[in-house]
Amino acid sequence: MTDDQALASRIVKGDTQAFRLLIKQHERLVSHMVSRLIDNAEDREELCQDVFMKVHENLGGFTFQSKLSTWIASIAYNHSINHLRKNKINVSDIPEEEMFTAHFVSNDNPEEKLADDNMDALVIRFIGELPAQYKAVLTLYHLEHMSYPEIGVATGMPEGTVKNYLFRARALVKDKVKKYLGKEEML
Amino acid sequence: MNIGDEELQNQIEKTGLAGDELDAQSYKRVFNALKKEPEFQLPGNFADKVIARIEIKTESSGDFFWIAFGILAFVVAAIVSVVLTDFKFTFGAFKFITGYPGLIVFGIVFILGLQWLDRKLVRPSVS
Repeated sequence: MTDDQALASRIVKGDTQAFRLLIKQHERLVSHMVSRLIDNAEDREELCQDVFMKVHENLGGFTFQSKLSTWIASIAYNHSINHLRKNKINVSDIPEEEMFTAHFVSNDNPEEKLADDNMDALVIRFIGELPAQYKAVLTLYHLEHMSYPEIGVATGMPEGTVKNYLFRARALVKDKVKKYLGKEEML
Repeated sequence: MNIGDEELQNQIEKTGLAGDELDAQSYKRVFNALKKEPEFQLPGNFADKVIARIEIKTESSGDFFWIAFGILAFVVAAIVSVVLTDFKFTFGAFKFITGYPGLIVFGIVFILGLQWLDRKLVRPSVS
């Protein structure tokens, strides 16, 4: 029995301290996922709480076919996507590549960008403008260091789609950064 | 995405090094930003809040059991009383309503209409 299985077994038996430990171990993962997908700061903490409520509710049925962290990430991802859908934010499809790339790269306000001194903050803002699926894949890969198969399990996407979204998302943001840097060089 | 992009991404990811050209420099900045933790952080008492919610939920599920038990006991007691006393159901004082079916229909439509107006006009302005 792994540590995670032992912890889950204690939680299912009603051990509150064990659940507190599980929250501490995974709150970073959940907050990363929720904060990257949900723009409204007021909703984020409540959504994170909802995720752990679901974890507590369904832990007894978890069969450990995947890592516990991957399973929790999938709950956080699905709960965030459902929240976006409830609020009528379109998350169904990734738009056609060429049209979306052109729209994404050109959709900005140069004056506002030039006023922003912090380049990282600016890039994070560009990432925030990506479709939710791209943001989820980027977060799980770069912040949680998950493998492609693990991200596939967490998001329900095939492994090939995960790789494609990861490369495409980084290329889109790069194009926008490049456009910004190009303008800066001209000034 | 072209091959150049894919190679650049792989190179920066593996070595952390990028060339001087604009594409490479842009990717370098993207990879640096992606490593940064989001500013949003959960409060220190986050676990306590979740556990408090779970405890409330557990207690309310206990309440639900007693409410359901109470309703069941009430229905059983009512049925037993009706059988033992041989009680006959009549409209009594409300018998006059049977002569005004339009009034019943109007009452139902009026209440549903008020509910609809409440949802459409009052609740959105409150929230």
